[in-house]
Amino acid sequence: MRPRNSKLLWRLLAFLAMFTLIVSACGNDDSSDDGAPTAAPEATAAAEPTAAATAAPTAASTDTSSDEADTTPRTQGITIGAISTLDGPFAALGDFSMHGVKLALLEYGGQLEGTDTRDSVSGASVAGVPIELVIEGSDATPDVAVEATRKMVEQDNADIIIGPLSGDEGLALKDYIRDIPDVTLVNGTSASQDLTLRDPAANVFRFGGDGAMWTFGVGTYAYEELGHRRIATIAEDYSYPYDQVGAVLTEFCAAGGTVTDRIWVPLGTQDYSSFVAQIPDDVDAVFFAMGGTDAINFVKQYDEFTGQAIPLIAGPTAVDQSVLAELGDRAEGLVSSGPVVDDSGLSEFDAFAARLDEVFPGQTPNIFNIYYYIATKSALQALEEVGADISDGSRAFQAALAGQSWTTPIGPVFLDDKRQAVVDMYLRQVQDGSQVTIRTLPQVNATLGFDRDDYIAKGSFSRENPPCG
Amino acid sequence: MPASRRLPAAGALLVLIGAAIAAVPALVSDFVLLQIVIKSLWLGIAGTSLAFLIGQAGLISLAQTAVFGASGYLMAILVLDHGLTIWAAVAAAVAAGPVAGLVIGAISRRSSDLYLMMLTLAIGVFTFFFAQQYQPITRGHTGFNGFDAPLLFGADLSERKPLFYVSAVAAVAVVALFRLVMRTPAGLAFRGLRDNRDRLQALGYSTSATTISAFAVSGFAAGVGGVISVWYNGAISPGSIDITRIIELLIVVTIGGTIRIEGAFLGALVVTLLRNYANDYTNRTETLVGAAFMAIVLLSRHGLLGILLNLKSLAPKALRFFRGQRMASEKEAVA
Repeated sequence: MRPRNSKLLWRLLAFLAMFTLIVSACGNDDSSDDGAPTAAPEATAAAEPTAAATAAPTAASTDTSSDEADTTPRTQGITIGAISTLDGPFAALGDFSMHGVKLALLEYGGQLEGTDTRDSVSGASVAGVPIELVIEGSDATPDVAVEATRKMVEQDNADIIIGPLSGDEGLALKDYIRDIPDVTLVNGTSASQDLTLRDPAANVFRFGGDGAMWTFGVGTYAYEELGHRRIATIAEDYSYPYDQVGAVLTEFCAAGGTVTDRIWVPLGTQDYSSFVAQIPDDVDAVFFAMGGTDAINFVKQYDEFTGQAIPLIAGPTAVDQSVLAELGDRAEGLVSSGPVVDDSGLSEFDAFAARLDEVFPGQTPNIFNIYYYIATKSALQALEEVGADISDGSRAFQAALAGQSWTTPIGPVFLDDKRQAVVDMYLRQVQDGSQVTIRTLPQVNATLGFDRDDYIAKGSFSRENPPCG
Repeated sequence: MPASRRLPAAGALLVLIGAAIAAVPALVSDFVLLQIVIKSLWLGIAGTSLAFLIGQAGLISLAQTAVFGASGYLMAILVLDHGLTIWAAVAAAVAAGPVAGLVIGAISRRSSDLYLMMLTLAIGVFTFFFAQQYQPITRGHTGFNGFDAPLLFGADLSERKPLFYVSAVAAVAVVALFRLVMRTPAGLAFRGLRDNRDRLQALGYSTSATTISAFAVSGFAAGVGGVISVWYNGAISPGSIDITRIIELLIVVTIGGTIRIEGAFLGALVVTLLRNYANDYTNRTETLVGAAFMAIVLLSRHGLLGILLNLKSLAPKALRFFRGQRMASEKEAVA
């Protein structure tokens, strides 16, 4: 006999059912967070998916398994697998990324199969070889990213992986992809330094900057041009902000400046009052490195508490185009460095912006659609160079990929011998809601211009590293 | 049934299970073996710990991922940061499961129902934030990467088949252990806790002690699940035990059904299949999982297992029905 209690249990489960449905439907897991900001809400709405059936393009499945590909000549197509955060806290950013991937494939004769994020692109081909696109999503956690990628590699026979979006996902995928040399990973926006800096994998390529490169130049600028001598930093407490703070302090302290406080806030903090209170009165500026909603909340509260009495200097993604609208007037005048500006005048940038708006109405360039576009386009160009022949275990293709050097929408790119991009960064300022160039920082490399061995020997950036006055 | 007759039956069952396990790798692709079968096994093992708590002791705990994470993290920390040999770390990690269960049980020994859920949710979320923030021990948000699964009798557990066999054996062992516990007087006390707390107390049992022991016993399975998950992922990070994972475990158990602890494996299989294949057809995988969860809760209080068991009890009835028909028609023919 189990009368009262089991009935109660039953009600609890029913209650949980509702709770779960709400949670899962919203996908608002704000607990796992990484290397990139959350996007403006209107972007989420714009990319609202419909539950249409996705094409499951698995027609070809014979000769692509990584072990056998060497011997059999390829008769079927090449499969590109794109991974981004299609669920969880960064779902909107995942939509941006897929826009970039699809734009690149459209240039190779592809056609959108639908307006949904998971809808593929069909009909693209390189050197007469059909290119298939499969799309998988993660929720920004490394475990899920590896499973999604493994599915694309083993089940859909993907030859090239584009992605992932966030830093720690990138590190996990590097470990996974390293053991499958025939498959090539072209990074999306994972900004973890160690994707390429320490212990690189031969089949991992990054055509963009990392968290430190994105923050290059702003420390020197703050010291020399803005005349700051003492700063405090406030940033989210994980690896990607460590890289940003690390890059700023490396330069700022080398120039002679000092940092009084390094304040670390937990991811997803809502109330910043106690942290703002820790900022000393006698510093010249405050550098903040946060993403998405954290950046929005912080800037709003900092503005309300202090009226920005002490000027802010921003991290690269805190003022990315994907959150600028949400920041509004409060972001006016904020100085940062980063990979994307709106006034570069590059014809490639303008063409990209026009094409983006044409194919995905209302979308504007941001770091996610541009980086995924560059990654996909680089892979396609390299495929073209080798006649879309990867039957040698992708060796020739990977060599061609390593040799890519072209002018992207955000400037020229080429890879160093660790397959890490050397790219232009921009010192920039927010004016009228767009990023305006102060100065172009040409050819920023993975070690920020320092000697490679010295730079690596200093160790990964952390809460305490680099040391500074 | 007398024991003398039960023994051969149990032996036959074991042989049958063994044969089924041995056959699986031949039947499925490497991908399915790893990402569906092995994943379902470790998720199911972790699920049995919750299925046991809910189904046997009436305790809905949201802290099982905390136990799972404690074991997984402990193994990773001991090996990667302290250079302990892998099997010593595994032993410590498996032992950490019941210990963590003890602690959680001790904290929540006086609460039940909704309050227990809130308390254990707090513990589960605390463990996540501890892993995320307390860098000196947990390496923060990045967690531990590049964990190599150990060798067992020369077989590399980072290979799929050996890992599958070990996971399957672990699953059988965990289930056997639970079944053993359920037969003891302690198992009866757990059910007493579920059925009528007041009466259990009136009979002279300590509900606190019973709750603590139930958590400790369940902690063993969660710990084993945690250890295998780290072998499977080669990594552990706060993302492995975040709120999504807490809810996922509950979904697994509810879909599977708590009437038998084995239901957790069924639930794990269904959830894993949905997560892997549903997004080939829809953009709304999470909603689908949630809807499946709701449908199960509303339609079958004992989950999928309840439906299956119903079918089983229906089968003899159907058989009798058809036999009755045939006899009737035979009679007609005779007439």
